[in-house]
Amino acid sequence: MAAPQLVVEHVTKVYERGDVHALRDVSLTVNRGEFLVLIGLSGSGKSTLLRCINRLIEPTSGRILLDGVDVTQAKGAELRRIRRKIGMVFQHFNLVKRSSVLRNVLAGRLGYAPSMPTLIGRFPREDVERAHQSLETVGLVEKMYTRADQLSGGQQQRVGIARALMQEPELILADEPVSALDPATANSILQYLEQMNRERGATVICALHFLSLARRYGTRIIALKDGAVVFEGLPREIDNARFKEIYGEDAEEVEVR
Amino acid sequence: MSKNPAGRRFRKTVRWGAALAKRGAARSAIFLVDATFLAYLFVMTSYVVSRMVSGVGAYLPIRGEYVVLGAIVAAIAWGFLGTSVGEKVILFLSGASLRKAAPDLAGSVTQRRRWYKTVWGLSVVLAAIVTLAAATLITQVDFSRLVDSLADTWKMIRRLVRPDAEILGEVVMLTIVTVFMALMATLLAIPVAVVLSFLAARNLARGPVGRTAYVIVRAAASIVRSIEPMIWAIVFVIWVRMGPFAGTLALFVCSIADLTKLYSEQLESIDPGPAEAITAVGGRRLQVLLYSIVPQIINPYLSFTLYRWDINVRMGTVIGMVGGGGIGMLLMQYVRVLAWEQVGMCLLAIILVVWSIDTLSARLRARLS
Ligand SMILES: Nc1ncnc2c1ncn2[C@@H]1O[C@H](COP(=O)(O)OP(=O)(O)OP(=O)(O)O)[C@@H](O)[C@H]1O
Ligand SMILES: [Mg+2]
Repeated sequence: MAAPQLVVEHVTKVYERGDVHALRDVSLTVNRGEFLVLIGLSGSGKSTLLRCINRLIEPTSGRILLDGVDVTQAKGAELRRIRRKIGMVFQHFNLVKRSSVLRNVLAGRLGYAPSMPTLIGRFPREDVERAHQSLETVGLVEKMYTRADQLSGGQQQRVGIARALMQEPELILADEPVSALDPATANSILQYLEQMNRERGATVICALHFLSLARRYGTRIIALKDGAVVFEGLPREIDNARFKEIYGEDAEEVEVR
Repeated sequence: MSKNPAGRRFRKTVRWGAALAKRGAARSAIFLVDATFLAYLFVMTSYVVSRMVSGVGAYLPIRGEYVVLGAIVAAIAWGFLGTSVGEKVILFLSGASLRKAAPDLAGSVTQRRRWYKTVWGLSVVLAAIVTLAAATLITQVDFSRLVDSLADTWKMIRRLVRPDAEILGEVVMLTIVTVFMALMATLLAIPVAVVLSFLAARNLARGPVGRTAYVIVRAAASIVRSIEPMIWAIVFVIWVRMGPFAGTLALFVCSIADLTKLYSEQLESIDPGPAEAITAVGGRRLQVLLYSIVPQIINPYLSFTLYRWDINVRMGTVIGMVGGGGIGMLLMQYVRVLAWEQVGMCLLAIILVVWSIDTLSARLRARLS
């Protein structure tokens, strides 16, 4: 068996402010091509874990290896080289609202493009070409010059996905990408992620709130509770007892299709 | 981290100590407010009474030591005799947190009685009456004087509304000087304020160096802002002699402080999400700045700058009066020799230019937002 793409070893995160233990000795491995879904109650540490992987948050202790390279030790240019192959999709899209769709998508290429010209907003011709293709993939070419804040939530998230596509990512981190969207739109967004996973071979780690979506898209599920891994297995292994273990005794499953 | 019992006990002790310190601080604050209030009441009452009894300038101040001593004694006494003004004020200001630390203090206040049945209520009313009376005496309010010299004033107004067109050339020239003083001060202030605003934004201040810079820049900006432009103008008139340069410098200093504050508040309200996204794609810090922060602040920054230019034109006319150059300086020269037709001409120019720049800047700002 090939070496795993991502190895998280004994990662702990303590937020000094408020003395919160957001991650407690989390260890996991992710193989190339997986669609791993993270579930867990609000505050269980899903966002913190995802952000430790690309170092938007500094883990307090532990190691994270991506393709055998220790992410936690990387600095400066090396860290940027690691980051540029990790796409990230956010709950609130994190687009620059006043900028055009095209400019938002092009920004996904900042880790690759020669940096001097980008400071005056110029990108190589092939990057602009690539932006057109990315927008075509998510069906938004005609919105290219529209300001990002004039799009609907679903469209904005598609721009977010197009931005991630620009990175030709080997790994995609998605932090509740559909929590701000209606169920129908949610499915279409997750289908784009699935497409990137299947057709482009990008590994996906996606935090989700709805178990029904997790079952439908995930090839594997990891559940966090109070910062610790409490379940790891296949979607179908989550039965009622497991569900209550993860979400608490009083939880009821809601169906979202 | 928080597992060892010794640590927990220590923290408990600290919390208990903090509550005690809070009580002590509250007690002292109440005493200070009471003493100050009583001293004030005594001084003002005696002033009003002696003026009423023996006429203008009749106040013979009691020796300060006695007032202080008396106030201290009375305040201590008041601490025992029911609710004092200090208790009311301090509890009102500190709210829930103190109520928790010192429930007995709060208890004495929460029992409600009508204000005219309480000592503190009556003394507040007395203080209000005395203050009003003293204020009238101190500011020498005398409405009859408005009528006395009505005829002379009328003559002056009639000359003011017949502006002297002969000095038109000079007036236009100096009005342009004032507008350019404002422009120059604003332009020079922009780069300085942009840099300072990044230091003065709370959300961007990281690490000990960042925090120190934040505190220093914030403090400096508010000190500069608390000093009127007029005073800055006087300082610079002494420094670089009378003329437009002194006025420009005064406007420059005030603009830096003002723009730094406005800019940094804008920075504090930006959405951190885009910066997170640009960092995540592997952007450099400068790229994060240009691709996520600048687009969010550029329009507000422009708008504030226009607004400040507009203020600077208005301020520029006033600053001229103390020697800062431009139309204000000319106006003051004519006022000194009571040349009202010429003064009228200057005023006309000021009104026109202020009004048009105000309108222009408002229009532009409306387009920006
Ligand atoms: N910047 C921070 N400073 C202090 N505590 C934080 C910070 N960010 C998160 N936390 C805390 O860390 C814990 C984990 O938060 P995290 O955002 O990772 O949870 P989550 O699983 O993503 O929750 P949600 O589903 O609500 O997004 C929470 O208790 C939270 O309050
Ligand atoms: Mg989260």
